[in-house]
Amino acid sequence: MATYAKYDLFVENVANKQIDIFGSTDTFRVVIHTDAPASTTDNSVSDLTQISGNNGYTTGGENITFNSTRSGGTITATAVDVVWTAVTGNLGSSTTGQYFSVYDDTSTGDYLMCSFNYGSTFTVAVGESMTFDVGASLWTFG
Amino acid sequence: MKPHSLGTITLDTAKTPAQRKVEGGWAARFGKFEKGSKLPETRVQVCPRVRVADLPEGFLKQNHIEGLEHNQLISLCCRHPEKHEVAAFKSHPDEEAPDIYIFYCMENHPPVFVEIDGILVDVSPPYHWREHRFFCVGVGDKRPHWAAG
Repeated sequence: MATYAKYDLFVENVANKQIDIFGSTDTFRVVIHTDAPASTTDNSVSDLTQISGNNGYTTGGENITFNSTRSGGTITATAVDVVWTAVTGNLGSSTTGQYFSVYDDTSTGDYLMCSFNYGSTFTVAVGESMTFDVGASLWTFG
Repeated sequence: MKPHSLGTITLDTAKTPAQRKVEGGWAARFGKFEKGSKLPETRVQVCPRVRVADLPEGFLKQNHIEGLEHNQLISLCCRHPEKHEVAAFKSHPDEEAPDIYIFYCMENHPPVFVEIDGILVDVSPPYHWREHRFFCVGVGDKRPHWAAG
């Protein structure tokens, strides 16, 4: 997996019952942003600078259809791939997207969970696509 | 270039604390950074660009192939990954396996040749190949890798 950065406040929000990471009760979304995540202070998706909401990108990102199940003492989280396709112009009119962050859209504060670094800026030109490939599972806990 | 030395890496779903320590995380790679910091570019190519048709059927991730074939928002030519080229990258050199695959569609960009003094010269403009990127962020899936020569 691409190594992710967990937002520090995520664990507090889970402990405070602000985020439900078991089952599929809460809706989690993934966004593309241009600023490196400040994992110690960023808390809400509004703390991030997303690419613009046009040309195939919707501000607030896309639903990853998050679900998690338990086996023994381990919880495994799964999700579905998200595909963005640029139409009319560059996705989000951006040439500087680099990071993907997952957040809980059901929580009152749209609290952040984790972030992934593509390792370079990218441009998705018209007719091109970017897929957030979750694989067999997103993470395990336990 | 013809691909050879094909292989796959399956990332474990569960890692021990020792494994995580060896891999390091963002903190190990970049240290603690302030809001607004610009992180260095770390993406590296690990598998050269080869023709998809030169790789065995079923070798590349099936969801990548099907994702292209079924995406109605991309051009018809882009929905034929067997005609594409593909390269693999790591978002950071320390990643255990490739986590970025880029498919290049050149169907709609035929090269342009002109004859100069009886010799065909490639005067193709600097084409922007259509790129279809897959960023693999999960675990438990098989990540193909290859060399070429």
